[in-house]
Amino acid sequence: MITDYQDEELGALLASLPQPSPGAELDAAILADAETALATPVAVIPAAKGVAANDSADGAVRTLPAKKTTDYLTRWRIPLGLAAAVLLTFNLVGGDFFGHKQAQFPVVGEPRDPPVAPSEADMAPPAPPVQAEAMRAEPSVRRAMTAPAVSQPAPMPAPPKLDASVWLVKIDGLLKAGQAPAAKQEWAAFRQAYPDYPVEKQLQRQLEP
Amino acid sequence: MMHARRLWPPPASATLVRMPDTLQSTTDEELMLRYGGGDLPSFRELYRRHSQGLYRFVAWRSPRRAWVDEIVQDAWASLHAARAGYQPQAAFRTWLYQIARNRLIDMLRQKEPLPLDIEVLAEVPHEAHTPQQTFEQKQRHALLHAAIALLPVEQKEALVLQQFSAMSVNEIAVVTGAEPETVKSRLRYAMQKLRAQLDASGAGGRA
Repeated sequence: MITDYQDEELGALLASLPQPSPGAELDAAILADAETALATPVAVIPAAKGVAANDSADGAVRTLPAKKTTDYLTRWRIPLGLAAAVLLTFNLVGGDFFGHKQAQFPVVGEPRDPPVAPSEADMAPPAPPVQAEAMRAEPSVRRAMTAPAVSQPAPMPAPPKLDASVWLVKIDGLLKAGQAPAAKQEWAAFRQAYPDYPVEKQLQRQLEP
Repeated sequence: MMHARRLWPPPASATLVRMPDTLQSTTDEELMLRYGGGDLPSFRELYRRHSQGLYRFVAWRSPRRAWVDEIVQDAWASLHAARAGYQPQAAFRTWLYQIARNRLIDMLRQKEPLPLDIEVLAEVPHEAHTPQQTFEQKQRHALLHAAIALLPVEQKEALVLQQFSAMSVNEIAVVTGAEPETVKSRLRYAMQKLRAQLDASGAGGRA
């Protein structure tokens, strides 16, 4: 049967190819080897063990060196090292870096304290006596010496304290509680924060002269 | 034109003594057992049967011509060394070819391999100049030789074992350690590539 890997014509062409053949010297050498091998006794390899196709030509049985068994410490050396490195890094950098700091959320209705911009004097490191004198003597020198130390952005306008509607409820509550001065103080702040916010006229009359 | 199967068994080398008829009818495995028992004529008969095929296989498979004799001699030397423990669990021929193949692989690992069979390709066996050999035939042989050399190693190995060493698919599978279906695929691809090369060059002979 001719299968798909047989091509009679090509097979015939392949068969006509001149082929290499062992030389007479090689034949003689191999036959001489056989005679020599028969003349010398050979160590019999146990039949049960068998002979591998790539056994050594000299018949010597060579085995790979026994694999060294790894002890406990060797096996766990890398994982333990990694764990120690992580622990050390955590302790050095601190938990805040990894997001352990608890988030602070503003409470609705509770006025947040406006962020107080640190004053120049607070931010500047304690100046040595000579530097302090220079600061007192020359304003330009003072600016040059303090500017790099502070390096703060321009102060932002204070954000509104409360939501306008909530603030008005608070002001109304102060009026009803008889705390008119406090209400008026809050009203002034409210107006500064929300100059265009529509306010009920009755409430506005109570607060404005 | 002679077919590949007719090449087998190869004619005895001039250096080999003609064997008695009893040895010629003995199986390879039995001859090897006899040789293990110290019978030199049995070895001579084994060598007469397989020396040509093994040499062809190694010569086509080896990237360097200089390695061929060494590999072949080493393979037979391994046979000498292993003769006492030989067990006929597998066919003798596939076992012998495996020894040579493993020796070749060892050499390829130890020494720097060549990307192509440059040396073997350059050393096309000398063709006797007979009146029947036309210029076209020589040209086709050269083309075929080059096409075989360019085949991937696995395909070339399967092709050489089938065409030049007259091995069956199952025997090739044993020697190369591949599944028979894989061997068939390799043979199919190898033949297709050779056919394509010959057709492209106009030397294929097909209408």
